Amino acid sequence: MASLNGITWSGKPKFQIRNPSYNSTNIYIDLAVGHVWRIDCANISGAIGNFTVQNVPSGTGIVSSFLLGLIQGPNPSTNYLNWLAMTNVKWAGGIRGIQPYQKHLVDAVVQDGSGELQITSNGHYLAAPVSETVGGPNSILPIRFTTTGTLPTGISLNTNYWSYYSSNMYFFPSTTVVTSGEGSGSGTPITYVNGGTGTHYWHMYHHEKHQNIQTATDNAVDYLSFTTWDNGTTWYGTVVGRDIK
Amino acid sequence: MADLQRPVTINSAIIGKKGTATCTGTTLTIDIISGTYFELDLQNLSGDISTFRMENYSAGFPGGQSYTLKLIQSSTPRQFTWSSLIPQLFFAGGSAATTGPPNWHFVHIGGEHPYLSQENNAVNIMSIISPVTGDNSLRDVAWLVAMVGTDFQ
Repeated sequence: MASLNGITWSGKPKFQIRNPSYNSTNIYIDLAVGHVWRIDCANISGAIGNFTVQNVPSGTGIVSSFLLGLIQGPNPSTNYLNWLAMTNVKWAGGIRGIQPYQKHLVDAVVQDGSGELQITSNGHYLAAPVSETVGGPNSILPIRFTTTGTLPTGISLNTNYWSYYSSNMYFFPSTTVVTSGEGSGSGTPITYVNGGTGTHYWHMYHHEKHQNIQTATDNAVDYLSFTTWDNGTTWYGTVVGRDIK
Repeated sequence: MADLQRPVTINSAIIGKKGTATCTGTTLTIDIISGTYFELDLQNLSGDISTFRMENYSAGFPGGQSYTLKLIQSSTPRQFTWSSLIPQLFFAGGSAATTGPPNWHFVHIGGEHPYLSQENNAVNIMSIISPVTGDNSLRDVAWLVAMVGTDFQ
């Protein structure tokens, strides 16, 4: 095996695409023969729950990686790769197929006219204006807060909140799921006590951790990247792109 | 150093080397020539990362370089102080330190500073791409930082 201690790619590297072998329970990636892999899920049967990577380079202080392309089949609900069962693969946030969350700045924490805690976050887009009376699609998904200091009283780390939509400038966090819009009483507002200290952030917290990673449409193409830092015991999976077309 | 000037076909795994990296006080240090992957437990930090030191940097490198950081969050959550953080570069051979052009800085996707997951032992992975040295354009001074993922589980 060649060991290149520093390499300049003036030319273009090419990778031969390999097809993994599989059966009803396992998919096999053999790193001895390929770096880029692709599987057409139209050919698999059942839910494959084991992700076996063979001939993983082993040694002290090395990191290995490969790419896997997935072509969706016509029966994604019955014939699929069961990433939930593949516990040797870790995903950002534990979420299969969703990009890492992005934090958003809390511009201010203030008290509104009713004494409720109001978050100002310019352009938060937690719900579209048209959905104010019924709760936007995002308002049923939880958000979480982080801070460089201390969060406002009533808001805790690692805790789910939901949002009342008011405008794209501000929203009201609720301790329970908001199923309809502001003023309908469907959520549980937080009484304002203080704004905390430091800089606060919020981010969407996707609770559907075990969502199927693949685009469900027949023939849809998704590409994933896998990296191991421990000679193949654990693989860190990331989504390169979903529904590439 | 090998310079592959023609297309090369690769039919097996690509292996990267883990380099030497440490964190002490509020300084994160990597030996940039020792590898392309750097793994760090932030537990040893005494505060947020205010200094990002890269040793054995090769200014004459004819192109951009990329590397990956795997950061394990400490029991007291740490972050990068991106707004004031600049790359501190030290040349190979122990030559005098340089901080490079005064406008050297890190840039991020959409201008959003990457934020590490706060949970203890959370795995955060980020990718950093160096400026194209030898180019006198603005690309010379911007280090691109992209979060690969946070809180892997």
